[in-house]
Amino acid sequence: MKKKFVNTLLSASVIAAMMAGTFGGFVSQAAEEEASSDEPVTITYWGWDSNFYEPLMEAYSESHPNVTFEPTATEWGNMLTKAQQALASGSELPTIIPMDMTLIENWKEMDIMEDLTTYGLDVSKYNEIYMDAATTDDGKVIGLFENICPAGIAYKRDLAKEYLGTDDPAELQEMFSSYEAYVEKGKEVSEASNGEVFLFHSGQAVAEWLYFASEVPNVTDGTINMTEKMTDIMGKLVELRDAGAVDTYQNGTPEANATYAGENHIFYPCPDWALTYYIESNDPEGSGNWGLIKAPVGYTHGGTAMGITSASGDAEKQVAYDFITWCISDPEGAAVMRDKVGYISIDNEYTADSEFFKRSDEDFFGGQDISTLYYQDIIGQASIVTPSIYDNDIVNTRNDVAQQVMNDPEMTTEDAVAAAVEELTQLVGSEDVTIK
Amino acid sequence: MNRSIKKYTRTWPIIFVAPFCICFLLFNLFPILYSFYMSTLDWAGYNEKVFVGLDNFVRIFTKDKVFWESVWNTVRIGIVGFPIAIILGLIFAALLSNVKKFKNVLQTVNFLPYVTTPVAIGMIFIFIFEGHVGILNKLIEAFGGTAINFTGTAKWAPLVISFMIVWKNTGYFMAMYLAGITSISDDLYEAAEIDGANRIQSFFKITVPLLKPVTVFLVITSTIYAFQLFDEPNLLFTNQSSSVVGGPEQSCLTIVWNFYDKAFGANPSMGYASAMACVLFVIIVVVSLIGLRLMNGKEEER
Repeated sequence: MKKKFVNTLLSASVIAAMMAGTFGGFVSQAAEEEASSDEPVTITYWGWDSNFYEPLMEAYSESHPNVTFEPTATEWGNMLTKAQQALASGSELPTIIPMDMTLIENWKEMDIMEDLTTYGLDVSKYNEIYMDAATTDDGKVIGLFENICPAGIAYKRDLAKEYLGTDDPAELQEMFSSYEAYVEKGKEVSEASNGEVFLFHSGQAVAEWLYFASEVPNVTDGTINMTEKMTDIMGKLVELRDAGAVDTYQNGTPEANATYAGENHIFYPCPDWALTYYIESNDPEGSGNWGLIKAPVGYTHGGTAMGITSASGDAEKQVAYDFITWCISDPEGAAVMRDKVGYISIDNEYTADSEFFKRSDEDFFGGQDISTLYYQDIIGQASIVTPSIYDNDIVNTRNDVAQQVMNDPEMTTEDAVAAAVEELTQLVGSEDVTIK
Repeated sequence: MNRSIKKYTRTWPIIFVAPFCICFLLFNLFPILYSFYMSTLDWAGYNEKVFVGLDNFVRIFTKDKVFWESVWNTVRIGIVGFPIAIILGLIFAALLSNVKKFKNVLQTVNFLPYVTTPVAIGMIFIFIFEGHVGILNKLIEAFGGTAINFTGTAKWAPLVISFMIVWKNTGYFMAMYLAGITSISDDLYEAAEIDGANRIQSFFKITVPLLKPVTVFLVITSTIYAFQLFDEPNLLFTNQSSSVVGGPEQSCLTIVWNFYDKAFGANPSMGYASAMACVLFVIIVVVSLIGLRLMNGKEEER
């Protein structure tokens, strides 16, 4: 009797499974129709940047009242860890995950994101360098980057006038057209101020700038080019340190952020997203006192791609795709992103439109046309650091060694490079890769 | 009648003990055994599991310099912090036991750091020890000295963590010793006084020996806590823009932080991290047993 019951149950399960397989296509099609209809859909989202997702979700919900967003605040540094833990423990992932550029290759390794081209994404519409970064070796596009991130060097006009003789962006641009010029002027400023005023507040911030501006790729043919990369970065940092051009703050700490409103540091390496995150928020009284110039080598810094997790339901995936493309390609979404967040979409249509990419915060920069500088002059010459799965470890090492360089005035470029190679070897701890 | 007695002597005890046993099996024993199983795998946590036998352990014992450096860092931080905290806890408890006024206030004030959240502790210590605006450096400069980069150099950073341990745990140790002191009979102190002993002699000859069970408990639990150190260094050295795993020159990379980084870093290796956890488990058991043996050895010999 018992055996018969078990057999019946098993047969029923097999039939149910077969039916699920047979009708899977219909279910998916139905989900697509459902997504375009007014059926309520809930999109879950993990994100570290409420300044980004809140206004966009709010604006999208206004035109799509059937869509509800459930964002969960997740620390930037914990995003990948949280996803790994969810996978290892079998718990649920959100529908949308933002993926930082530094970790984009690690996200690709996890293979948990949908290929956006299967939803009809037209790759040619978007900035090529960002699309390349989001594309796997076998051609899957795991996310769509939110914005282009050109970076320049921001400066305080009052200090520039006092110590460099001018606050005019064009004149300063000419004055600081090479790294050697920063060394030379750094020495002069240090002498003129009795060591009180520096060009930069933090060795880590300078190393970060030089890292993104360096043309040395992190990895070539399975070899991490640590010696070459760090020689490029630490060599310049050591020269700047010896010239007295760099202070010893640890980048990103509250004390370091307080220097934006201080009177001892002139320049800050500055991607466009840092205008609101660092400068305007840390120096609210400084409106009109800031300016922007190009770095000797145009560069980009950072970027975040939104992707859809494969484990989500079909209806949710379709709405998530619609939301992501709305944010980046729809005139309404891209305008919200520009006006409320300060981001310029990676959609070529908007980056080519000088009327569109006009930033609303140019008054903060004394009326300077920073929009054209960022979105035409700099982005036109800039490249991105080709991502690798070791980027996070390389960045960690770079931060630590840059701080060591600043703490130890005797540390040479050779010492710094040797320390970086050793530390990275320990951090990576894998025999699958050669560290040179 | 027999059935009814059986019900009370066999059935009910099992029912009462069952919830604990089930929870223990599910949430303690199973994860421990599963960790041992995972330690034999090459597994990132989301990809296919590959059985590698004892390879992970071989790597720990023969190749992984960082693991042994993290063991040394942990021991170095703990060995400075915990003995000081225990001794201070004992001294404060002895002093407070004689205080008549404001005893509760003083007890609460001393205990507060123990219940402060680690995030707040991290921030407090940054404000104290930071190189440019830290209160301690402001004091040093006010007295004509040169500011020291306490949190940015490998020389000083572990000491800051040790100081954090002292600051956080002294109050807890004091509370434990105070509870122990209240159980010591006043007769002993009165007899000692009649025999001419002063307070210091009473402290060393009566209080300290009779508090030995408390001391043994604190040393063992502190040892376990020390080997699991993670929150304090992690909070002190992690910020969005300039995160450095293990603090300056990895001088504060403790065993658990190292384990966490291997398990949940950018390139996770859950199998290898589990092997680390197993080695840590064995280290804690061995060190605790040695501690117990050393502290109770003479008593057992008697």
